[in-house]
Amino acid sequence: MKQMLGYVHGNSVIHRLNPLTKLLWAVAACVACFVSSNHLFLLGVLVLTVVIAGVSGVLGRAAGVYKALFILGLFLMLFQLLFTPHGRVYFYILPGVPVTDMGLGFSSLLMLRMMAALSPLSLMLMLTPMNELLTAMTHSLKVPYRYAFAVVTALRFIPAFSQEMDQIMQAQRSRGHETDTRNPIKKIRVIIPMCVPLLISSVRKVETMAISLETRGFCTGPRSCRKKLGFTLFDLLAIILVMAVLSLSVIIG
Amino acid sequence: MISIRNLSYRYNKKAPLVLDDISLEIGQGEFVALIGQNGAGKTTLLKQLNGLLKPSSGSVIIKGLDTAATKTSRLAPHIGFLFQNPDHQIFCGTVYDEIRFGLVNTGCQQELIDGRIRRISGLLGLNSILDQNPFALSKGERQRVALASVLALETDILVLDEPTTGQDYKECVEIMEIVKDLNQRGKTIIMVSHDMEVVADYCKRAVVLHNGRVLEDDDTGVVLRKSDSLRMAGLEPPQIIQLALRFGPIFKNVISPEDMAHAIVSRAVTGGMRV
Repeated sequence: MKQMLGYVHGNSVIHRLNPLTKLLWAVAACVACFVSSNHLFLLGVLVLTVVIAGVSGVLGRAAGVYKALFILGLFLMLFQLLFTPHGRVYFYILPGVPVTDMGLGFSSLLMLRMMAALSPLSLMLMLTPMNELLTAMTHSLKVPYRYAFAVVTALRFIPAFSQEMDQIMQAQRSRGHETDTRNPIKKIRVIIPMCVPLLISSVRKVETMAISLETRGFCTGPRSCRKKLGFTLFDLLAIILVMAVLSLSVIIG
Repeated sequence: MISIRNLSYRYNKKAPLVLDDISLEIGQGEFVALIGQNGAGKTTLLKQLNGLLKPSSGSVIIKGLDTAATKTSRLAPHIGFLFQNPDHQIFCGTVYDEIRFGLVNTGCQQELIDGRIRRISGLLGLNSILDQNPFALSKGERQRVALASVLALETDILVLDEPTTGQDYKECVEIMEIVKDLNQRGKTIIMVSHDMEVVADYCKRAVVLHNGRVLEDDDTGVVLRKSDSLRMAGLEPPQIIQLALRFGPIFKNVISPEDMAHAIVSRAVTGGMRV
């Protein structure tokens, strides 16, 4: 999870784009993927994200995201395939469960859509420092700082929580608690000793953080920002590209 | 009892070595302090002992069990482990249930459980709060609840990662006296502490870790006098030893204020003073 959402340091053209451009790209690509039901278009968007990852030098990290999305996509595809009996039957995967042309078409579309819609978002988070995103949201989009801060903090806390969960699992295992059972009913019983400490310590952490924010004058007056975020020629080109992709999705359908 | 041979460890293949060729033999009934600055590898070494982390190379054998091939939950009946942060383990609605959790996990007989919980909570002064919610307790009390849940397992080996954090002086002494008592009854104690006074007062052997290597390993009194090694590891001897070092070789056995008093008196007597 940390790898999927964490910012990767760099100085590529994409890194230097205005955060708003990158946010626009993430949202527009997501919308375009839901507007279009064309396999080739979705594949095109996916390839485009790979190219962007390559240009900005985060292909290694992005590969992890693609892999995770691919595995998730395969599950989705499998279920969709099993529950779509309409269309021309190719063969029976189980007695009474056919694999059809419509099933294949739908399921592969679903998989591609999920991969193509989510990877730009994850890529955007990899290529945009959190504080720049925060500045862009509050100064340019006029999102109230309180809300923007909440969103950004939630994203920032994910790695901290995963680390915390790790510690909790270790503590419970040390007390003879078996955490690696395959039985789904036992699994629920196994999870409780880990979720409760996580929940409690999160609430404690949030309380402490709220107090520490208050003591440092959170939301008491107009804010200044360290870096002025401007638009460059590259931003213009990127926005044209984004618009082209969005229009193409509407045209192709 | 504990045999660590050429243990090296890194968190992943590309990461640097956190533990670098560590060999230690710890026998039954020893009271060992692991000391060193933050990031020296103390907690990582502790986690190797109950199999939470597995060696990258070398081996860790606990009572004949190779940790590399044994699950942590299977090692739990032999080795009790207290974590730095009690909030990582507390999840039950009452202190009683929290102490009971490990006992049930390790298959302790039902009729023994109640007695053990009462005894341990009595030792740690938790009797009056057994039916309270642990989350409502103070940090110091939560730390003692966590300690009680580990002590209740009555394991032969106790591994304590900074057991006196968040305790005031009186509570710190109480906890350490309990640990000392357990040690006198034959339990093996391995403890990480940043408090050199506690180390000097209670631990018999001290192991100094620096950058993942064992820098010193000897009797506490000997180790705490090696100013150069300690300085290298970012540590300072307790004040009483610093004072004894300044006084010169006649005070070479001083490790506590009592020793110092004895040494001064005997020096005065041999000097002709009537005491």
